[in-house]
Amino acid sequence: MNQKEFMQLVVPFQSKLFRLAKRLLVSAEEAEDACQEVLVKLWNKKNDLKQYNSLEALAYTMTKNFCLDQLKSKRAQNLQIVHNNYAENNSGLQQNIEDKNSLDWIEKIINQLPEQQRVIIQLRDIELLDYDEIAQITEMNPTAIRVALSRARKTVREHMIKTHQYGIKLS
Amino acid sequence: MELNLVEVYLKKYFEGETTIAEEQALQTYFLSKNVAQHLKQYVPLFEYYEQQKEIQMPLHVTEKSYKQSMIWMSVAAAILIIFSFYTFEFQESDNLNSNVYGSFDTPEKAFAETQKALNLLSEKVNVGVQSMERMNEYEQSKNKIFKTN
Repeated sequence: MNQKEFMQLVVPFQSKLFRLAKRLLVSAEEAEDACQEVLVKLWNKKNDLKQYNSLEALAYTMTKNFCLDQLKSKRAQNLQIVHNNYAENNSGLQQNIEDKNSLDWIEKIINQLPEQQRVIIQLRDIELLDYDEIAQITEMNPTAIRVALSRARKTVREHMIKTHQYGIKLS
Repeated sequence: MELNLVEVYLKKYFEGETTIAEEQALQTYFLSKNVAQHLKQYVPLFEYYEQQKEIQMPLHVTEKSYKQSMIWMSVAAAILIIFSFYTFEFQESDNLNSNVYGSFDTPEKAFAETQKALNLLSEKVNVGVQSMERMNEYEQSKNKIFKTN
């Protein structure tokens, strides 16, 4: 397989990988780096790719694993993950008035979910994959996925509603 | 979509029990203009998901093609300098009084013409250098934004 053929295979789902990486790593720059790494790994496996019934699922899995490893090693080094989506003086989910109805606020809530729930929200609510596809990527069974998804959605709702009521009280 | 159905789907949604089709129906409802008052609080959530679907991987000019365009720029600049130099030289050779190609009547005139030639040359070199500087700016801002590996 030459480079052109490889790119033709990979380009259709490149953005999907990027979106998953960004969900986990938050920073667009790091997400891009992660995607490059995954592409290199796929290229190194190019002769084995035919044995996989879904190249996309394989790429998704590799991206998820790579990003989770990144997050784990960062925690191990006790590095504070600083990125420009969060204001430095906000700890937890303190909401600024300006954020009240904005999509940035929703993003903050979702990106504070545990990693596994973040992956499932991304794959289900944004990429619209069915439970079988998600099971293949996350190596979880469909019941566990349903439970995690429910938990995630409820947590998001809780934080959304809380702030909405706060907004009403002020006015 | 009927409000009753929306509420049924919404309840299932938070239990993780909706099908993809039912989730699509909720999406369509919440992005429409007819959301019930007590449900309006959920609109940002579905708007967010809709927005997130559109995110694409950013594309950049690669190192390789940038270097290539640099090379072509330098070649073009060099050709321009050489061409303008020769063009100037050919223009001055139709002086009817000169027998020998490239010589002038008086030393003063020769000096003036030499000075003109050198000015023209330095002008052309500056043009080439200017475009190099612009390229350098591009390189600098690129390095500020992107990590160089």
